[in-house]
Amino acid sequence: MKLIRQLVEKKLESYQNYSIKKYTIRYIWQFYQAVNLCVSFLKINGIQTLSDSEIKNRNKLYNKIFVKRSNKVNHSKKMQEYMNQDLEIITLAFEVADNLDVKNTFNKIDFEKDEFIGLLASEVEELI
Amino acid sequence: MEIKSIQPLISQMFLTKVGLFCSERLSIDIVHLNQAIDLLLPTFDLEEAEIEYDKKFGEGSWKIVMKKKGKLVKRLAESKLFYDTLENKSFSKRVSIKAKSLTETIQEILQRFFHKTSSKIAVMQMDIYNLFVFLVSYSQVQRMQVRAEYFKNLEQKDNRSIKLDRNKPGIH
Repeated sequence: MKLIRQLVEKKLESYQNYSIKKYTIRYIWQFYQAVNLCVSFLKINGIQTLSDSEIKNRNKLYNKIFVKRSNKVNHSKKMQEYMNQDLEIITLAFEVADNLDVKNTFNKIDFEKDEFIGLLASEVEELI
Repeated sequence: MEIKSIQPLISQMFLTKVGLFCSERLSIDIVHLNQAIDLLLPTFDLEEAEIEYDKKFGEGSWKIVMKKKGKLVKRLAESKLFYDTLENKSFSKRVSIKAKSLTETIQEILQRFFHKTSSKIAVMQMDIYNLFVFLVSYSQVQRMQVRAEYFKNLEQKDNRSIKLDRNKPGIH
């Protein structure tokens, strides 16, 4: 899942760029794109992270902040809480992706050994 | 289900779309994601994919996803219509109808319509992401990587990358 990993990394990078420039709406949006990718990636690998009600709560809150432009302190506090919780999902997804990469690696053969010089790859496999 | 091989041309188009989805370009990025899904879907046997998807995400979830995707496409088309016509895409202030010129009032009305239509697109569109990750995980595209060229920079004036002036060394 190289591609998904790259997409999540890119999304987090642009999240960071926007947060430096203080584009709150854009950085929340980018962050949640990364979280969405991670949640569905984990779901496919059999790990349930966010329930439907939790997703609904987040959507409600962000609709208030994005569309209604509420400046209430409670809303921004809750937003930070949600973002901190969801950061754990991203780290978990990276861990799972790393473990998958380890599983999918090939057995390496040391071709520079004296025994293998001048042999075809198929012949080396027979020797091993 | 076996991992599907995808023709090089389609995989290239897919990667460009995905690159645009992840870029810092000013656009509605889910549009690109949706287009990327549309590129991958025809390579799958839909009945086979439905069975596999239902195994992963629960029974009947394939039909729900397809319905939601249809709805999302409509909403995206609406919001993109207003977004593309907006001149200033910074959304720094909430707009007021008390504007000076006619063009400003038109822009403000367009911005209001955009807010209305885009509010229907939720932050966490889980179904479309589930579909995207599912399609990627059962195709050869999962091992590919997007080229750096496809991640384009911000288009807006304020956020353009600084160009080096060779006549004035040492300033930048």
